[in-house]
Amino acid sequence: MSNQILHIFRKDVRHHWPEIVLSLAAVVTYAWRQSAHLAAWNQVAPGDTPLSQLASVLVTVAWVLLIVRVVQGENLVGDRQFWVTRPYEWKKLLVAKLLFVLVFVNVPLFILQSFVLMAAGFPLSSHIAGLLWLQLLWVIFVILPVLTLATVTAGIGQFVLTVLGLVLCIIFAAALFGKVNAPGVSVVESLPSEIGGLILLAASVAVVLWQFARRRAAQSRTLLLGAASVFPLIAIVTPYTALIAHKYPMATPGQRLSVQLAFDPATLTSHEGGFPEKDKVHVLIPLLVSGVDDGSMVEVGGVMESIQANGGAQWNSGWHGSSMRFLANHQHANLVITLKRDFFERVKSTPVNLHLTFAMAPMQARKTERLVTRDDVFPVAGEGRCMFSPFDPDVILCSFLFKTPLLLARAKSDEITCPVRRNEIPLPSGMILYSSLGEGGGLALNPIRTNIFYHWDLDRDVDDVKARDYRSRVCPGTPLTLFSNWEDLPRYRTELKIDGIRLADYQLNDARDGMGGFGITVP
Amino acid sequence: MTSAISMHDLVKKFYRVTAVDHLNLEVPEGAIYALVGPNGAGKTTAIKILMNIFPATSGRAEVLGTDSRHIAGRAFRSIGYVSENQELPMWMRVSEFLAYLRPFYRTWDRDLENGLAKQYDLPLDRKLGKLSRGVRMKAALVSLLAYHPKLIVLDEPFGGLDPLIRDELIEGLLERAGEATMFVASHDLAEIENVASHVGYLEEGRLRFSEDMAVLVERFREVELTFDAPPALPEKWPESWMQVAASGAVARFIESRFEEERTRGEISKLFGKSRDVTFTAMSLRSIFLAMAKAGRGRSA
Repeated sequence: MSNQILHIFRKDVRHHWPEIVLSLAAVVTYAWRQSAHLAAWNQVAPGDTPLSQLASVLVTVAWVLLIVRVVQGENLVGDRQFWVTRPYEWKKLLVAKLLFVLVFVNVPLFILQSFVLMAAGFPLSSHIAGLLWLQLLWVIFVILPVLTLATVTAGIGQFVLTVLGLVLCIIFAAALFGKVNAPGVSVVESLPSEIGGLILLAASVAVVLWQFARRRAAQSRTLLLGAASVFPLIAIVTPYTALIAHKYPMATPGQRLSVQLAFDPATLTSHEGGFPEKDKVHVLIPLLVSGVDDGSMVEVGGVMESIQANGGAQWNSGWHGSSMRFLANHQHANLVITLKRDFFERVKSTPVNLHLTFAMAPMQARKTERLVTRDDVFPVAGEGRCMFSPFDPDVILCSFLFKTPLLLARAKSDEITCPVRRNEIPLPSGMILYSSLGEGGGLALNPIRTNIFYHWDLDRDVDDVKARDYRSRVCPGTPLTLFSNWEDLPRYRTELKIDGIRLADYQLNDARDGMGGFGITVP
Repeated sequence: MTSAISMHDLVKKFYRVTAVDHLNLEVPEGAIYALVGPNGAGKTTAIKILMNIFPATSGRAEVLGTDSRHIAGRAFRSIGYVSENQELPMWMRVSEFLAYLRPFYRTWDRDLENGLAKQYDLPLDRKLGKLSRGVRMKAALVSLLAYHPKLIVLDEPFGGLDPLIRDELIEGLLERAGEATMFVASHDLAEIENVASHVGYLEEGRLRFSEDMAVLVERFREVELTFDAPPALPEKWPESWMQVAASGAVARFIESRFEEERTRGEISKLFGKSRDVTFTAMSLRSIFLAMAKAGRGRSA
């Protein structure tokens, strides 16, 4: 037979035309809603509308259904299928199925994303590579897993049950992972999932090939289960402490540090802001911050706290993640430590030695641009577009293609053009405001990523009144300095020793409004 | 004579169950070989190993000179396989099904296809899922015969079919008998009795015997001895005698190695003089019943 591939493909199209029509209708619906949404928002639209979100779910479900149905049209599980004793050549059968997925999933996805991209005002010709990258993500994270499960399940019902079972296993594994002493230290915490992911990817490809070539469902399922079980095993055996020491080497005595931290003993008042937790107490350690260069920032990848009290009582938090970030002109920061209540009660009134270790990840912006915000759409960071939200003037909406870059925006209080509202206090002269967009991207139907600037941090304390009463916002006409294209600088660990501190003086009382937590807070 | 199918010490285990137990079997080219045995004997398992639907636990088999583990893809251009439990594409119309399979086979005979479709009165515009079991089996058979396979393997093809359809299908197969070797698994002796040239009997995964049908029928006889008075049954009798019993003045047994002169001699030696001796040929069904009873007696 000269062209078995096309013959099987044509048969599949005839058989699955209802599913094809359904999926294409969902794609068209999504494209129509997205283009209308973009037009209504002058191309800088805040994500998907509810109808678009529904359409995107429909599209994904329709594609999953299509892939499962077409693969199971020549079922690879069982021993009663008529086709196994007909002259099918397994490579041609596999190619026919992949051709079907390419034509009815990948191509519509490409066309859809191209359409949305152009509707958002981006030129298509210069972003083909980005669209192909999204295709690769869809293949790795959606198409291949669905294809793999379809080859080891006998029907759509078994497929759905398997997926539900997998979701339950993931939930269980995540709960188990939380019990394992796996620190949430940036760079290190993702290692198990990266290694496990690669193993699972390889196993999936192997299973698809093996199933088409040999149809050994029991062996294939065993291989998949084995590959999936690698995740928790890796999480358990990974030497996190050694890895952290390797990724964040201790700063050498003469090394220029990207940030200087010191204990701020002047801040001794009792704070509100702790959230009530059974058997736990929160202690807030005020820090003085200095030395961060303009155009740079230092993210804290992880923190470890240890306490030594007189009489031998000791406590160590182990490494844990942190959301702290130090910027230029910042002068203060707070570190919240969570202790077991019984230990705190034992040592709270006696001086203890506190040893803090920070895993620092400094970054330097390679691009600095100065722009003046406008009433309408204004460009940022290359191909990004921003505008003030017509529904909330304190919010700046920004659209980017494929992923949101890490952006740091700086404004000066003297240059803010916002009119002062009732009960609002103008910021003192010379203050710096910062806001940032986190880096984000990845798998989605919509190639446009949106994010918002809405919260502006002040670089230092303001007197007497709470920060929220100040006019910490920007308006059209306010000049901004944008820092982008961040370059990672060498990571390091640094330590801060605070001897003779009385923990009771820094206890966070339970907040009346339940606010509080880790990270930078402005007292 | 070359073998179209050969099995050498074939074993298949499903966990602790041995479905096929050291099976050794040869099917001569051009034969119509009937593999018979009760339900659960291992017939379907043996066939699925031949068709490489699943592998044997140990041993080997060959189909048309090819190791069965390598039977795949183009090898099926010479093999036709139909099973009563086969899952056909129920969404396809009969005509669509035949048209779909056509390009897979270089030797597909369009005239033969049309002739068989007419002969079997196939409803070409109806979906396979809407057909009765018998008509669906006809469609499956047409899809198998149309490309002149060298080997036709049928697993319980006529089970549950009405006699008219069964006869139609058998007739269709017999018309192809000269150009193909046929291997038919069945527990229905009546359907293969007049068709098969060779027969093998499988029980609990083991092949009890395998031989030419004519030779098999020839060596079995029901023997009835009439005496003047109730005879005394001998304490021992030849191994080839089965179900030896006496009722009044009549003794009966089944001889599985019938040679008239020798059998008469053994009768005379063990029973003495009898008034009458009759030898009656047995149907295949009677032969297998006798063997089945003898088998149960051995295992008990």
